[in-house]
Amino acid sequence: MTRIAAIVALLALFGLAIAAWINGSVVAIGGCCALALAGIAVAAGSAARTLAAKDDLVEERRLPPPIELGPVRPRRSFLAFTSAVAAAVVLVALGPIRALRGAAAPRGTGWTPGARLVREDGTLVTRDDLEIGSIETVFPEGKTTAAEAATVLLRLAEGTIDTAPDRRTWTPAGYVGFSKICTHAGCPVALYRRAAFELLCPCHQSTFDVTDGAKPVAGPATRPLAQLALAIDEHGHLYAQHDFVDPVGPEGWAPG
Amino acid sequence: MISGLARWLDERLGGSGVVLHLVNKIFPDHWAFYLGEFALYSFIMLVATGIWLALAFVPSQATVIYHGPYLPLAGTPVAEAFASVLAISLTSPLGLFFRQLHHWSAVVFLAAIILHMARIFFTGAFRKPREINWIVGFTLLVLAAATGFTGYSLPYDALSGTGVRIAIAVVNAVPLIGPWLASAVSGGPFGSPQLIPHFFVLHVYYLPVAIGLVIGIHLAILIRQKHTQFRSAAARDDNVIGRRLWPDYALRSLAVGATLAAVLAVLATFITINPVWHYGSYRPWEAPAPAEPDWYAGFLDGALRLGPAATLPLGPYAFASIFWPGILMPTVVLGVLYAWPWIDAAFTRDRAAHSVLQTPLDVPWRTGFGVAMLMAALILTLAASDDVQAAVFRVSLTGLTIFYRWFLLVGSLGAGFGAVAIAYVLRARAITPAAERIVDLRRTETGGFRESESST
Repeated sequence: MTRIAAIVALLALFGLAIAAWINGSVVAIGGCCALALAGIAVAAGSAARTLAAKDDLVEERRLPPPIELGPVRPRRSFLAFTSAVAAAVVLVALGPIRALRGAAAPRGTGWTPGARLVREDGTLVTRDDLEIGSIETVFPEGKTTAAEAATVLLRLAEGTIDTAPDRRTWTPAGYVGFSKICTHAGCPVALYRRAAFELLCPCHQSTFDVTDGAKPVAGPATRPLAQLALAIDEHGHLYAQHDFVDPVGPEGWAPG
Repeated sequence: MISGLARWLDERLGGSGVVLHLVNKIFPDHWAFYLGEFALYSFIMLVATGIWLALAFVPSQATVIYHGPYLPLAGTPVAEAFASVLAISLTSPLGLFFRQLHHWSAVVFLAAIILHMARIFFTGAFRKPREINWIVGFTLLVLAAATGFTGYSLPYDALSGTGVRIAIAVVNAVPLIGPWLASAVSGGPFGSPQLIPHFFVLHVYYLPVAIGLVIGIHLAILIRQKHTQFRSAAARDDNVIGRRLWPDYALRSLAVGATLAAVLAVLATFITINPVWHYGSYRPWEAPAPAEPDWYAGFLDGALRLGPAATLPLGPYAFASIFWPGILMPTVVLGVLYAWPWIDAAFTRDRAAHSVLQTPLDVPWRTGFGVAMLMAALILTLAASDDVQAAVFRVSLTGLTIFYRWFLLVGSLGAGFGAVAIAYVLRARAITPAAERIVDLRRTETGGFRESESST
């Protein structure tokens, strides 16, 4: 048995060499590999059976007795010095780690006053583009890869929007814009429940009410999605009045 | 020739004594002792396949236009790392086989470590003198999970990119050093082109080298202390009963390891794992739905879903809602498990050295605690797909979340107390080891038995 299995394993290994050399099919490569390993397994298993000792053997298990050192009391100044050295070593590591942080985050998300709204393919968004109840992902013109700027644009029936008094001018013709980055863990808030007027994050199901300033209504998020102040120019193109006022992205230890 | 070579080496290194000592070492045998070896053999498979993959992979986030054989993505912009994973997987059968073997081995590696640790836990193998190896082993689990996560993230596909985004958000919520650490890991603000190069060097160098070193320490301590053994008439704390390393144990181990590797090869050949071309390259403003991580990170994802929507401000800073399930819970769990040998000793008031194992029935409360922990992990993992369940069973997602919060509490406590109760019942039924003694049995005239204390 051992011999047959070992020969099978050897042949399969040669087969594997050929299959890998000609880069044959996955089944040929994987099959030869599995067969070689199975052959080794059977050969070793059957050899283990043949060669197995008849009876269990017994061995002593003893560690040498611990050495009696007597009381060791280092001086307090020595302990303080070694602690200080350890602290210094840790501090030395901080600088190099800090240097890995690369460039600091640029100020703002990419939305500048007057930046026009474009889709990912760069086309401008005009007043009549969206039906009431529909939704689109938009970016500032010329910055369609700015991840922090990704914004969900929705069009709602004008009476349904419940805005704070100072944000009444942010929603022209029923258009509302919210940051697409979830305030919980940073996933894109990519799902929209049209009937409930709710944006839903597919990662941890934080839910935001788009008629009420995208306040969180379910799930683990605690902070509303930042709202983009929108306006419409004389050509009917949508643009941003200014960058987001509220913090964008997941809430962390530091503010912002 | 072999003996000639052995002599040549021995005259120069004088190592034959050590080798003889090693091959003659006695190892106790039990099926449960092979779980750790499963982990070891999976690691060997990971290294064997990983060397090739590391050279074929391009660790770059730069955008390139895809011109490969996968037509749905033809002509679209993708990350260079993603394009190289597609090239590995779809243009060369060898590449696909290596990649799938690597991923399957990683899945089994983590599963084997967890099962091995569960065996150690439930049999009390972490007790004195093995506290060090418990900590070393636990460190191995943490390193393995970190290696798994960084590797899973390398293709920069829609699923893993989202996972990285979440992980960075979690790191960012660590008190004091979080924001600093998050930008150091990703090499700048989120979306920095340094993220994949950082993960690459962590995944192919720092973490595997660390795992190799820790495995070395783990095995050296094991050899020094000798393996634990299950209770038997002859087993004592100061002896070890079993078979020699060579030929018995080495051959058995090889047979078991090669079987595992063969199963992994069959899985890699026939069962697709992580087909990133279906997900597409990561774009931060698009999320795959449903979004779930690899299985071993599922409990964290589930915890993030069930966590409270509560923020605790502290001046300008804050414990964000992601802090409680993402940082606090894992830290507490890790801390308790790391300290387990001492917690256990404090509760059992047993600080003596042991090499004879216990059974899960011997210490019912410990078994109950372990079962409760495993149940909690299982429930949290289930919760990580609550959106799919809500859609399939047509129930409200909010309601399901509330259900899972209660289920986590009631289910894990129930499982824990249930295990304690079962352990007590089984213990009462079984002949308890404490009652086991050697007696002489004699047939009586009436056909019954009479026992008397053994003279031996």
